[in-house]
Parts: sequence; C-alpha cells; structure tokens
Amino acid sequence: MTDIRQKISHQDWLSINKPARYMGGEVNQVPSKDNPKVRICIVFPDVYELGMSNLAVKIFYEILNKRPEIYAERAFAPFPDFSELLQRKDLPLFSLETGTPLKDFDALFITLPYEMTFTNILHILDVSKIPLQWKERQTGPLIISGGPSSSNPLPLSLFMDAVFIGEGEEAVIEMADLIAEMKEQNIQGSERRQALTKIEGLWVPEFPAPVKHRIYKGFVDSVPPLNPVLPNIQAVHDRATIEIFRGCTAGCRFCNAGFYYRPKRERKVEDVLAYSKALLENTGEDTLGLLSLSTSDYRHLEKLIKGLDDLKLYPEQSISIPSLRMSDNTVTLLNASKNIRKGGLTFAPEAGTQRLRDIINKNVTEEDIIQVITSASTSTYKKIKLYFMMGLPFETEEDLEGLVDLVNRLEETVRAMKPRKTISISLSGFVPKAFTPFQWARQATTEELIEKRKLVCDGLKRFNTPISWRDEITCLIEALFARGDEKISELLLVAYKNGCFMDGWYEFFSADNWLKSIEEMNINLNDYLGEKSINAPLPWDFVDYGTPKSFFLSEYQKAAKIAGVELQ
Amino acid sequence: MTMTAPTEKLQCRFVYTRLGYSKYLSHLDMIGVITKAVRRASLPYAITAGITPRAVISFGPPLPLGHESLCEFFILDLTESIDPEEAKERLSEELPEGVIITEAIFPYSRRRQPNKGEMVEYELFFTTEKACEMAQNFLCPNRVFELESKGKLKAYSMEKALQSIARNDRDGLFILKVQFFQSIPDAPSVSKISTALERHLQEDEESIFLIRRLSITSL
Ligand code: SF4
Repeated sequence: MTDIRQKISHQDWLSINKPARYMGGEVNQVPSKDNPKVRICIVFPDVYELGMSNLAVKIFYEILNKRPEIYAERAFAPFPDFSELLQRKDLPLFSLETGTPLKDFDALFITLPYEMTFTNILHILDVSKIPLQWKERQTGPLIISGGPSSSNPLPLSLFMDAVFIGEGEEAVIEMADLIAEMKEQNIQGSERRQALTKIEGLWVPEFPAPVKHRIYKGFVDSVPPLNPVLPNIQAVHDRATIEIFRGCTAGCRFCNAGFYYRPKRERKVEDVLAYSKALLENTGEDTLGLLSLSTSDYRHLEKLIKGLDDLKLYPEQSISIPSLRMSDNTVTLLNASKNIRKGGLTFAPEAGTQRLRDIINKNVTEEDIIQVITSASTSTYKKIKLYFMMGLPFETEEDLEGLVDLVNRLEETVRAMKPRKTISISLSGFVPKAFTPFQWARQATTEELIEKRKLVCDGLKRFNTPISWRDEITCLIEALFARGDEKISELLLVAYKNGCFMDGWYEFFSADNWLKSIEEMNINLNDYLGEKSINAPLPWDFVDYGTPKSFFLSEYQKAAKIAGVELQ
Repeated sequence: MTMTAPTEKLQCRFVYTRLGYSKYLSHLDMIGVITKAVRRASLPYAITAGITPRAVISFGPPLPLGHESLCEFFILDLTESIDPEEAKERLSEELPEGVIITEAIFPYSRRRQPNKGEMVEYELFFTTEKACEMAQNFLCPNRVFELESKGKLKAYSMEKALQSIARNDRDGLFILKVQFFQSIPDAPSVSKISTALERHLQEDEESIFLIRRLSITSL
C-alpha cells in the first residue's frame, strides 16, 4: 500500500504550518491490521486540533476498531497551506494511520459537526481525487455522512452516497459489515447504494424514501471511548471527556440538538466514575470534562463531583463543567469542590427579556441570572461570558433594549464586587433549523441583524462591555443549509467552485464568494429564509424525527400565543 | 548552633530521542506529550504550589522543528525514589512513535549554575557530495549571512557559533559532523544557521534531508 507521506520531502513538510497535523503516530493510535475485510476512514471536515476533540470521532474509531476485521483510520481537513502543497505535488489526501489515499478506502464516514464545514467536505473529496457527486462514482469508497447538521440531508443530496440521521453507534458497524459483504461480492455503483437503504437511519439520495431518525437505545449501558488517540499537538479541548448523559429535555424552541438527541439518557454515577478513572489513566490528561448538552440537568451531579474528588489519580487533577444552567445552586455547586477548574463561567440566557425567554422556552428568569452572578462574587471565577441571540422569532426592539438593560445592570453588579469580575457578551443571529418548533420562522435579513447588533453594541458602550459576534452572512448561509433543499446542494457546489472553503474560519470565509454564488444560482433568499406556512409541506418532511411535526407546531403556536400573534 | 542539612531535591534526568515524524512536533507540543506520559506512567512527580499546580519538569534547550535528536532531556522532580530502569521502560511505552527514552539517571543532582550557553553537536545528511561540499563551504567561521527578523534583514556572523566541522561519511551517505556554540552572546542559534544553510542550498533544496542533534553540553 502506498504511504503518501513518503512522497513529501523534508523541506515540504517544513514549508507548512504544524506538519504534525498530518502524521499520526500518536499514543493509542490503532496499529495497522493484517488483511482487514473492510477499511473505513473516519473523516472530520475541519482541522486536526478540532477533530481530535470531537467525541463522535473517538466513539466511532473505538467501536469500529474493536472488531478485528474492520480497520478504521482517521483523516482531517487539510489546512489551505497543506492543500496547496498536495495539489502542487499532485498527491491525494491520505489517512493518518497508514498514509493511505482516501480514495483507496472502502468507505469514508464523515462526521458533520456544523454546517459551515460543508464546503470542506467537497474540498476533502477534491484533494482526495474522488469525484464530488455520487452520480459520477461507480467504484471507490462509499461516502457516508451523519451528524446533527445534516438532520435535513437535502443540501448534501448531490454528494453523499448516503446520509445517516440519528445516533450512529450501531449503524456504523452494520454499515461496515454490509460494505465488507458487498466488497467480497464485488457489488458496485447503484446496486451498492441501493443496498444501503436497508440500514435504518440511512437516507440514500439515489433512492429517496422516508427515513427514520435512529436512537442508540443501548447508550446508558454502553462503554464510552476509553482509549482515545492522544493528539500530538494541543487539541482545542485539551482534556479527557466523558459523556455523562445524552439528550436534553429543556425544550428550547430554537435548538436542534435538543431534539436530535432525545430522549434524555443518563449514565449511572458508578459507571461514570469507573470510566473517568480509566480515561484519566489511559490519557494522562489532568482535566476531566463532563460532557452533555446541559450538565446541570444530570440528576446526580453533586454525587458525581464528590466521587470525582475522591478519585484523585493525579495531584493536579481538575474537573471542567461546561454547559451549565443559570440557577441559584450552580455557583454553590461549583464552589463545593476545589478541583473544579475555575476558568470562566459561561451561560446562555439567549434573550434579554422574560417575554422573549418565555417565547423561546428558555427556562431562566431574571432572578436566576442576577442570583448566579451575585453568588459568583464569592467564587474565584473572574470572567463571566453570556451568549445572546438576535433576530429571534417575535423579537421586538424592546427585547433588544431589555438585553442592553440587563447586561448594564449586571455590569453594575459585578463592578461593585471585590475582587471585580468581568462580563463579556457573545452575539449571534438566530438561525431557524429544521426539526425545531421554529422551523417555520423567518430569519432576519443580514441588514436587520446588523442593525440589531449595532443597537446592542451602542447600548453596551456605557461600560465598554467586550462584545463578540458571529458574522451575519455566516448566519444566513447556515440557515440556507439548515432549511435547504436540492437547490442548496447545487449552491454548495457552485460556492465551492467559486473558492468557498474553510467557511468556519474567519480568515478564510468569503462573504463575497457566497453572495456571488447565490446570485449565480438565482436563489430567492426569501424562499429559504422567509416565514414558512404552517399548512404547507416542508422539504424535510420525509424524515421521521421521532418528535412528531404536530408537536413542533404546537410549540410554535405556544410561542406565538405569548407574542399575541396568529400563525398562518 | 543547630545545622539543618539542605533538603536534597529528588530528581531524575531522562534522555530521549526525537526520530522520524516526531521531529515535526514543536517544543511546546513535546512538553504536553511528555507531561501526559509522565502521568500515565504513574511516576511519583512533584507539583508546583498555587491554584493551578503543574508537574515540575524542566526541559533542555528547544529542538528546532524538523531536527532529529538523540540527546533531548528533561529533569523531573519527584516525591519519592524510583527505580530508573523501570521508569525508563514505563515511560517509553507511553510516548509517540520516534520518542524513546534512552537513559534515566536517578538520583540526579542538577547543579544550578548561570546559563553560559551550550555546545551542541550535529550531523547533517546530504544526498549528493556536491551539496555536502557546498554546505561545508558555507559553514565557515568568517561567514556572515542575512535572515529576516521582525520584517527587517539582519546580519549574523558564524564566527562565535561554529566550533568545528568535519566530514563523517558512512553507508554511502554524505555527512558533516559539526559542533556549534549556542545561547552565547553574538552567536546565531543552530536553528537560524540551518535555515540559512537550507536557503544557501536552495537550487537543490532537497539535498539536505536530515539534521540530527547528537549531544548537548552545557558550557
Ligand atoms: S438547554 Fe441547551 S441543549 Fe437543551 S434544548 Fe436548550 S439550548 Fe438545547
């Protein structure tokens, strides 16, 4: 087998940034297997440092490699400097384990963490010398993707042989077995794609049919990845992570992840403790991250923290708890253990007034917010970061003014504290997502979003509150993908050909190229971003999401009722 | 008068290699890799005081990215005695490809002395004799070369840096063995010298394919 890395000279490696991104050889990497029946490459469509922190990559790598007849390797998106090198040398992208070109695998399993990586997928196929569209592929690896950002798979319909909808723990094995079988029987082309339709949760664009979102029922008793590959270069989240529960029942009406991962399933405290011990031993990380969508909702959080305190493997060990709810006992809980990493506190009230928080069903009151900030005064936390959305359904100017008032009041509170705390704000435009109660809602135009942002920024000048925000065009593109159809799949291709790539990276995102592509495709933005009729069918209705459409509608109606609006 | 014996720190000095692809790891990344390996190997390491305690490890001079080495080292503060041979084995198992512990010295007593620089010995490997000769010509004490630093061209003289140079060909390979002084006043670092050398060989830039650090001696 060719190891492409051998074809890259020492000087070439030195000419790119962080060459170790492409080299593998890390501790816990699975060594090459003799004659595996099937070779899968798990592809993460962004850089190594991000991909090595991604839980799905770790889960699938470990599940697949537990089977001796399956060899799963890894590949990440090449950074532009490395792509340029590969193209200059006419070399294809390769896997980290063995340097095998991606085009020589039996399948690529692409995890999709967020919509803004979609052009990277095309780029990965391109630098791997794999035809971009499934219609052009009769042989070579099957290209299968999955993840919350493709719950509506239509924007990927030109490219994927199949899109998986749901939790993939069981499906990856079924797919690998089926692919091995087809390989043995030399089944190719359409016949191969048709066979994939038999697997629950897989949607095959060539044979479109209703598909059911798949849940991993065995989650509670499943063993999480305990031997993750240890990144040689510092990963974004430099810690061992343990998923303490899956799902979230908070029911925020804008949130796709909340519905994607339903129902809520908790791992037992004893299990989490045993897994944590193994993870720390196997990784040597000094920080353990408790992962979930909303960690405060783990019913035994106190007991778990106590257990982790007792389980002191390393003298400098600490716990990191992201995704906390704003409630009075949060800080008390955090203060209860000296082993909890006291970096910064991050909360997402999302909206500035009680009315709007009720509309989006964000179950946080103003008192909660004030209380959590006040109780932070006795803690060692120095920084508090708050996330807000603008352009939420039924939002009025008063809501934005309310946001400004709230933050200014909080500023007054923290400025009176000794030692002083700092508040910073992160703003993002609302993106209506398929399979949420707000799937029918309109997205504010970029001009409106810019206006709203200016209003908030002006209002927060009083205390010079640090503010960061997401580029408004990014929010627009994300909405096109979230509620897109086949035409958006064509747009993706045109945008890629126009040079869009690494859209999640501020320095590479080109709003001009995207806008030019939208124009070239004659896309009427209002068709995708405008209010959708609650009576008309939706393009993604063929996906049975587990949560019925009627539930989403009733939730949307509840929100409208609070706003005093009649839905059409 | 009572005398208290100075409390001796328990320390172990580990020597390790950076071969193959591990030469493309930065010094900072190596610190992370080794710290985690020390934890996984269950060595009884000491930690710093303060709110964010860290393992007490001191590393040798950074290895420039892309250079191999046979002589990297770190000194680990311990809370109890260890069997150095066992520690060496255990730690080696926890390191990425190309990083091998070759020596563990315990007890080790680091003499704290002012940093007067170090002498580093290198081997440079070439694919052609012509390139090897060009490099030998370039690496002479009266050489002055220019490199960009903070957007400006800066001149460096090799005089204080170069200690000795000799051909050391073997196995059909063209090799130069060079000794440099670094971290002393007016001497450019080996990293700068090797960059300048690679530029000098530019017409045949692939002709230098391996730069390997053999030893480091404190001055
Ligand atoms: S709490 Fe977080 S994860 Fe849960 S529904 Fe709300 S936004 Fe989504």
